[in-house]
Amino acid sequence: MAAMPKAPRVSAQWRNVGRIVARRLGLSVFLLIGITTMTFVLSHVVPGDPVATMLGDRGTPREIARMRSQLGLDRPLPLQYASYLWNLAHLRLGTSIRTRRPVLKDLADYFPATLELSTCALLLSLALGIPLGIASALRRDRPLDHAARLFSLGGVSMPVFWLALVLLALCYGRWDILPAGGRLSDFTLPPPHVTGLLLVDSLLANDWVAFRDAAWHLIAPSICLGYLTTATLARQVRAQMLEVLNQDYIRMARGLGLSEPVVILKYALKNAMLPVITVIGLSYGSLLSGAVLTETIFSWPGIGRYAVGSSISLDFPALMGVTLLIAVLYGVVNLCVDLLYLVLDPRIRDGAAREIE
Amino acid sequence: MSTLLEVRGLNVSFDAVRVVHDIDLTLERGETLGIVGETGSGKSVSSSALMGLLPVPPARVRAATLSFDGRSLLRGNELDLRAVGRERGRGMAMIFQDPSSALNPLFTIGDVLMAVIRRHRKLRGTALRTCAVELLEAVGLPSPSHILDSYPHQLSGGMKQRTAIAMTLAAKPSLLIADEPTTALDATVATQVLALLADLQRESGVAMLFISHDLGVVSRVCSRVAVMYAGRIVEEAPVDTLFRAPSHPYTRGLFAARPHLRLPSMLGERRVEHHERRALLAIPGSVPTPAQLPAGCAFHPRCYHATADCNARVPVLETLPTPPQALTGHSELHPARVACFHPVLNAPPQGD
Ligand SMILES: Nc1ncnc2c1ncn2[C@@H]1O[C@H](COP(=O)(O)OP(=O)(O)OP(=O)(O)O)[C@@H](O)[C@H]1O
Ligand code: SF4
Ligand SMILES: [Mg+2]
Repeated sequence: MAAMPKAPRVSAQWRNVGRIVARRLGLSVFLLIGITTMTFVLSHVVPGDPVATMLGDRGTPREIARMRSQLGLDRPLPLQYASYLWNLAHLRLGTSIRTRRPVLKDLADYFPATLELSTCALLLSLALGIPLGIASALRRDRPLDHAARLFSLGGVSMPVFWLALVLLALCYGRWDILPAGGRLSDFTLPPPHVTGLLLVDSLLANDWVAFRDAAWHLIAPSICLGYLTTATLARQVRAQMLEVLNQDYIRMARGLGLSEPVVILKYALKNAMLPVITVIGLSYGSLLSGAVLTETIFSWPGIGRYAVGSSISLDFPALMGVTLLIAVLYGVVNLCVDLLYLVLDPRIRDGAAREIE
Repeated sequence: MSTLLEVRGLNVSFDAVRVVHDIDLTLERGETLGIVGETGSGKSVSSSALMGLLPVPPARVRAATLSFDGRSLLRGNELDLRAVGRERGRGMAMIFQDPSSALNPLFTIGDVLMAVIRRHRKLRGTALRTCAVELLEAVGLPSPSHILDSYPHQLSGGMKQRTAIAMTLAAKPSLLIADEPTTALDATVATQVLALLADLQRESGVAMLFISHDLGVVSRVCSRVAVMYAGRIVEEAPVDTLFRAPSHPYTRGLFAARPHLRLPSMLGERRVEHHERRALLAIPGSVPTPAQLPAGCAFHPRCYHATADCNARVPVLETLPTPPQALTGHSELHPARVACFHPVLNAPPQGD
């Protein structure tokens, strides 16, 4: 009769994993070079002199010239670019013109705040968006579905700053149940710095007061930032779920008498989530890039506000540092998404299907 | 034998368009019934409806009587999805046409198969795995323990259909619905799977509703056949009767499309008239869509025997007044039930 099933051996599967990771890393290097070149060029062709901005009215032409040569801004562009790349390769991102600190140190200070906020926002939207999408698909065209879709419509169409202002006005201004902004209250002692993530650090220090205070401060900005992602996720999950529930293998699973929770939450959900993973990755990437409006309104000392501050003062080293960080983040998130596909989809693991759309 | 499935007046509609009209079906325990018809005649819809597998809405399933194993599956005259849900697996299970889409691509065969065994046989641990291996062996799969850890894309079409059959057997159903289980397979593999199904049916005594558009396939597995056209059963008869004396013009057309299926006795006993042969050669035209059914007998635009009254009223399924043995000389034939005003009683067609 028929031959043995042609399951690739484990070693072959790992070769596939290796190939995909290598390809992705190779791509990332090109991406990084492209992005640094572009930001470098862009930042050097925009009108305006960062040194003049920095010194303001008080800068005499001689002072400005001295400053420029000190910063290396008087050298020819290609040379500046070459030395920039050289420094990058050694993780020397230069010194911020505005804060006069190494850019790397600045990023290390500002990024954890953004990381903490966007991770909370993402977790919130996963926790809300996925169940909402599932419920919506199961109750298709019933009141719950309509309500969920209205909610999602709000998420994708409501301006973030407006939602933030409403949240502030109500939760702080009127009811005073949430703080106005910042990461901690004035009187809360920050936990010892380990990761820069206050929730983690306070847990490590077993400091529940700081933990609760940090969590309390995270609520409003997380909601604000996570609403759009929640809405996007709910829509995607609903659409995918409806599609999957129509598949033969789900009808087969039901026809075999498997219980409805098992069919939905195990056999259908995994299939439905497959394309959604890409969306989650993209959303996380954009959350991590810093939400300027949300961070500004909630006085959140994150990468978005840092970037705004830097652009106002034409702080090229800082801006390029931020851009680089964002590019790296996108690369890392994408790599994680790819790895997740390898874990979840045996067809990709076997190299049978190269990519899912 | 006791009645396993009783269906009276089954109607299925999608968004107010009726697709299945007043179907009656009765299946005894261990009996095999074939459903035959061209594509779009409503075979899949009616069987999926019985399993409660149609999306509600847009589907709406109603019946006058619908009972399985003595239990009613209706609430009022609507299908009770909860009640059907309880019968699925243990009571009735279904094999799908395309095994490639019927197996979940992200889970191993073992994962799903063992989930079914756990659910219906309450086995755990090694007993569970042993049972899974035995089931795969029973459907003729080589190296079963290897297959348990395989994903669907690693198996061939025939192997996939065999695993699907093993999964349904795992639930030990008393009714197996097979919706064109061999259509998507290569001819040789199809023959093997068909033989497997026939064997399993004989051994386990499971009742079977076997759907196909191929009369030849049905005759190998089933003892009785219902012919569907445009959402109705137009003829229902034991296989012998149907093959020796097909009475509905549409059934005759089906045989004409597969001339080698006619039993030698059927051809040898009398001269086939020239114009009858022409009538049998093919069914002209195509199946009407459910939204635009012709009035009266839905077959009348394609029927060589149609008269004026055919598009006035819908013919109902009735036992033929003339016993078929009078027509063919076979004494043991049971009469057919036919929905036609002018059933073909082996006389030359009218007109011409
Ligand atoms: N989900 C659905 N929504 C609307 N109409 C449907 C749906 N499913 C089936 N139909 C219609 O019902 C009719 C019968 O379809 P069905 O699938 O039962 O045909 P079939 O006899 O199984 O044909 P085939 O041999 O191609 O499988 C068709 O006209 C089809 O268009
Ligand atoms: S009822 Fe009339 S149209 Fe319909 S099959 Fe019979 S003869 Fe043909
Ligand atoms: Mg079908």
